[in-house]
Amino acid sequence: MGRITFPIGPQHPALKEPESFKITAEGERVVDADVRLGYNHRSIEAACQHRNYVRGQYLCERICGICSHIHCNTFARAVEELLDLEVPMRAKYIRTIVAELERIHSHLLWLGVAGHEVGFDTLFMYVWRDREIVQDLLELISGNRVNYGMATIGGAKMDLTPEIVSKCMEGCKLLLERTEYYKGVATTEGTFLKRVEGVGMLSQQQARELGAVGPTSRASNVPNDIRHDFPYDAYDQIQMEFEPITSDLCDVLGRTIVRVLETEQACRICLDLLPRLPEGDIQVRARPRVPEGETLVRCEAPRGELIYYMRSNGTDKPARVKVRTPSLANWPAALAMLDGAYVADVPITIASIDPCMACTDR
Amino acid sequence: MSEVAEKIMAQVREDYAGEILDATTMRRHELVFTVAPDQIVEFTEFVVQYGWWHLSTITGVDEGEEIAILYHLCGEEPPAATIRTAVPKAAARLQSITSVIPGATMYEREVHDLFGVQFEGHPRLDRLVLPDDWPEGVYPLRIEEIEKRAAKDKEEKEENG
Amino acid sequence: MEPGGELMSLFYILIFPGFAFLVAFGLFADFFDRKLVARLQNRQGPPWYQPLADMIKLLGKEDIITDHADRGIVNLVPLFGLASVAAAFLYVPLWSAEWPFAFTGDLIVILYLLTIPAFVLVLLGWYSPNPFGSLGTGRVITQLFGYEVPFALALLTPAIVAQSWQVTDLLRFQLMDTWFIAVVPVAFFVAVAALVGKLERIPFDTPHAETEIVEGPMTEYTGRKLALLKMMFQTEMVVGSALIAVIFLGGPYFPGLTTALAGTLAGPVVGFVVVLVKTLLMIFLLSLIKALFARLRIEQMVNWCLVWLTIPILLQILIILVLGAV
Repeated sequence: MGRITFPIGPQHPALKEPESFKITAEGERVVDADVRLGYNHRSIEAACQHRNYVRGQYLCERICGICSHIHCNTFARAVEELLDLEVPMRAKYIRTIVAELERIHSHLLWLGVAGHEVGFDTLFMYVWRDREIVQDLLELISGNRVNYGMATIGGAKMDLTPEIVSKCMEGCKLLLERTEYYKGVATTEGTFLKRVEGVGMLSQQQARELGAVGPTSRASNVPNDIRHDFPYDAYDQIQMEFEPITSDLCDVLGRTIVRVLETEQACRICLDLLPRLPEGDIQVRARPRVPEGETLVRCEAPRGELIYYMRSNGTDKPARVKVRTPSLANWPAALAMLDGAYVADVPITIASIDPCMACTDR
Repeated sequence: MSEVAEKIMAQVREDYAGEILDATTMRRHELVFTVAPDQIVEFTEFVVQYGWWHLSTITGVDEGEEIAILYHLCGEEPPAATIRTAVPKAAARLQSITSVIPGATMYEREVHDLFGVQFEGHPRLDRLVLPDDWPEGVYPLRIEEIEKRAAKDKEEKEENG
Repeated sequence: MEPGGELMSLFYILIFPGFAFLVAFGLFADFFDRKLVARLQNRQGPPWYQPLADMIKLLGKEDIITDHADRGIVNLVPLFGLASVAAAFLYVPLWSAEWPFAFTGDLIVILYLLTIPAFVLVLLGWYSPNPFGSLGTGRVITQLFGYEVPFALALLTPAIVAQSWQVTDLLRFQLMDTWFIAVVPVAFFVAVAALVGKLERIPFDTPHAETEIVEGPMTEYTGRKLALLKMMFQTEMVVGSALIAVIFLGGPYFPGLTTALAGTLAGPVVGFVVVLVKTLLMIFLLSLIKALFARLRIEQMVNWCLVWLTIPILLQILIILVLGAV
């Protein structure tokens, strides 16, 4: 059978952001897949080096729209480590709660997009309708649906009033119900299962070797979760049982289940932390000039492990800011999954690592 | 640094056959081992068996005369380890660790793209983030380029007033 | 035929219930389908004039023909598609069994004409320089293997029961006896499922799967040609639904009402309304199927059709033949 090479991207209905794939297919099977990244490169790391830390944090928050808070938070944590600053407990709680709400919003977004990629538009519409619950909560807390700006260097920017806390608890309870429903859909809907079961296989060995992170690796039974392994903010204050959620299915269905269960876990974490918000300040003052030093902070973004390396030189501008986003780590795994896949499965396989090109290219 | 970290650091120093130039810590969870550039593949292979099997990323830092390359590894619990090595800017060449950790391909490509470090033995050292028509030999994250850019921005600002 | 008769035939063919009525009903059916799917998906859906607005917009756009394409074929083929579907509609009896265009064997003619839209897509994809076009063409042809034989067999099963190849004879049988949906329910199920494949609707819309191959064979076409293709799909939906409504759901017959109005002028009028309602019921069924399922891959579709359509319909025909002999 003849080989045909066709492009997916940089503009394609399957892709939400520009990236260019060259898929070589023999009939309906992929024999070779190649990706060209860099369409969204904005040289944020270079830009941070001639901006002071406050402006740098503002810039880094806008690396990605979906996981903006975690960038903002991790940058703040890195500077706080360089300054040897201890952030008040209330601020840590607030940061954690916003991070978990962001995780819910990101995973629900992904579930809708996955439904759309397999032609299951009804799931897409329902999930995005329910995502509005968490978007409303985030708007209530911070005033914005994306780019919340809730973490500052020294604490949290805005406080949670008791009304906000009660509304958030109501919202999280509603989301728990809806997540139960989507758990059912993901595991029992026949045509959806046909499209995701056995698709995009990534063995545990491959996941470890290729450096996959986040739900992509957890669905291949690699129990990595930075919130659990290297706890930060208020994750060590969680009273309920908190284990990384893994699946041994190693395919797109496994990743779907992991993300839906993580959404549920995130709702429960919020319901656990919200009533126990400690009293106190939400900010401490931070000096603009940061003493010389270097630090490395890790966190668990919705897509996986996010790592910031920062080096300071005594001035108010950093000497080096290095960001490695989880989407970049998952690309080798994605390309490995495409080997031998059906052409029809290419969009859902690529979507299953939850690629964020803005994050990858920075 | 915590007791566990001290113990591990001592163990690594003891067990490693080659030469570790320096071993310190970086904040809470990081141990930093400095080795010479020609030892990097050996040391990475050695250190992976300590449970630091996950390569988080490879960072390049321009330190004036040299470019420091940092390999950030971690395992399932703290402490994590960073391997540091430095290559002279004029002859920026290093052995690739893709034979030990296949997932290093993208990170090495990025350091090559933005700092101009050649990784020998890398399966495919193409551009990662820079566009195809970017001029050869211009490495945007080297200090000279950043200073050039900052000076240009300042000039434009003064022109436009 | 008297001169008035020829003029009457022309009116039938072009205006009502022919081409103009079919296109208008096609636009309405498209709105009905989109609105229904939207409400099932918990969103508002388009206003009633949306399909008409889409047509007008498309007709006003620039018509681009790629260098790779043969101008003659690419301009003519969409017209053939629409014309064949409109011609098929002429043989669907809409208000009574006394249908002016009926003749022996018209069921076979309808089936033949309804296969032409698939070949329209094949040719258009073939003449598209885009790799998505050729991928789409391959999928259209493969999908044909899944639904074409079951669709034909499912529509011929009532013909075997009624011992005639004429659609109006099937109507008379239903008037005298029971509706075919009760006599050969398996054939009804197979006909509906095969129609979903023929119309390239979810779950069988992989030939133009938007997230995989953009629009498949139709990727490179815009303006007038795309308007004609869309109209072809809409009218095909109407013709397919009307055909199944007439053959399986009793057509213009409504228990009690038909015998009461037999012979009067109101008879055909009421019969016509009944057929329209039944056609919309079929479209409702198609929309429900669209909202419920995800899209199947091409080999999954063909396998499913083999197991759940071809085999059951063959068994159904076997049962009919055995019962008939008995």
